[in-house]
Amino acid sequence: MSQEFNNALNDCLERVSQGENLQKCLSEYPQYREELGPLVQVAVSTMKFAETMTPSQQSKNRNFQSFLQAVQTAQTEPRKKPWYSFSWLPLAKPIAISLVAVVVLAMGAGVTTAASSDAVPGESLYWVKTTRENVQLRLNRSDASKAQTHADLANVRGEEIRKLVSKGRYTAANEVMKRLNRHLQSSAVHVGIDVTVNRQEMPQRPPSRFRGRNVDQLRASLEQNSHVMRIELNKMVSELTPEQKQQLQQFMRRSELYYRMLVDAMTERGNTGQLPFIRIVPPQGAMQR
Amino acid sequence: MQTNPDDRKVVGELVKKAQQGHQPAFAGLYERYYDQIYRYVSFKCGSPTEAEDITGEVFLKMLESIHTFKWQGHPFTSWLYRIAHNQIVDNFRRKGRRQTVPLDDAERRIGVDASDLERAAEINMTITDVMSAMDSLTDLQREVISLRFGSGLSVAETAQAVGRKDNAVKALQHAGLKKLRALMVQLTPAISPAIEGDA
Repeated sequence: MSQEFNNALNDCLERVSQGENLQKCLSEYPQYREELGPLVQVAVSTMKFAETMTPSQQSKNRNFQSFLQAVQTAQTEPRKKPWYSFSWLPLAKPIAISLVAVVVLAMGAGVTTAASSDAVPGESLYWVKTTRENVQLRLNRSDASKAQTHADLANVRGEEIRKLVSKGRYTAANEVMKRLNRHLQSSAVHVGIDVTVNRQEMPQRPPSRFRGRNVDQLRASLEQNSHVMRIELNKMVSELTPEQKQQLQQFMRRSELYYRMLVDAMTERGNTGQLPFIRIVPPQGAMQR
Repeated sequence: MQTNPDDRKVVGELVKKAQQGHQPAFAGLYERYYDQIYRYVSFKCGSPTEAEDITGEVFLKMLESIHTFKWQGHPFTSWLYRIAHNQIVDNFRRKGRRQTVPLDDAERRIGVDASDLERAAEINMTITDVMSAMDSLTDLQREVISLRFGSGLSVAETAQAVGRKDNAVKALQHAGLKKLRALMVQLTPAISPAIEGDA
């Protein structure tokens, strides 16, 4: 019965979704009518429900602009197949990855990693930099060191944004800005704070054992990083065209908002002490700037 | 929910041109699939804001890796939904899985026009009801229901996207709908009457 019933159900679903009468379809399966009807009904209501889920035109346009910009960037910077892709020998890839990991670990803070510290996305040594960061994150054990490392990495992303903007690579800078935000959010999670723009949600993890003194240190370093980033980006404003200036100011507003949300949440946490998480709800529209 | 052969031809052309770096082709793919992907992502993550961000990322990923796409009998949508699925998983991994249902949406009522259901019992439920019912499905059932009824994919396309056979998708569809109905009956008693006498 099962496969036959599954086929009957699927047949009815296809026909009803194309506008056919449900009863007509059910009449062709009298033996399953009782069970088929309610299931098709649930499927139809789920489809109706899905139809109400439409993106706002504003966000769709915004994403479209970013997408087009990325398409244009991709066209101006033709993709080169890196020699380490090893597409000619599939088995070589996992071996190469392992070897590279060993080499990176062995070299530690050696010449390559030192040279890569100035790399930005799209440059040949950038993968060394990100690998080193991933290793660094994995080596951290305590919440405090993880939170601090993520905050430091957010600062590194800020520096990359500055370099990318100076090179006119706004799409790449936009991507790095998202990563900066992710680092800050991860930092918040390790402090035991759940920073969100959603109005209703559940705490994700138990309270961190992060101590007050560490929170103060982290907050101070975040405030300083935010301040330095603002000053550094501000210095560049005078050299840009009005359009570039607008984009740069958007970056400044976003980075300030991301840092501010976390710093405010940490201030709040310091006051309450016992709360497992805090929701920060910025004014309506604040995230759409 | 079935793919038109003409559609496949159009999509094939768009993908081919996009792989050659043709900008209007990218715009065409975006316009064609944005809403579908958004609905799928919304179904999976529940938060419109998050869904908008993730959908944007899906298309950037598509741009990055469209040169790797090869026609091997699989529809383009399956490949695109795989990207969307991976982006959602990455997002959950980064933030942890949690329920994020903004109140505005939770308050939105979903009414189903009785005439559409051949005067079947009126179903009146909220997004919160649907999302909580969806949350109780297994991962695969939720995937199949999201793809089939959220995005309107055919059984074949869904099968490609989830890496299962058509019959397995039909079985998952059946099990998922059955569970959804049982939960919705608890949440909204109006759904409980059977449909006899509706003709």
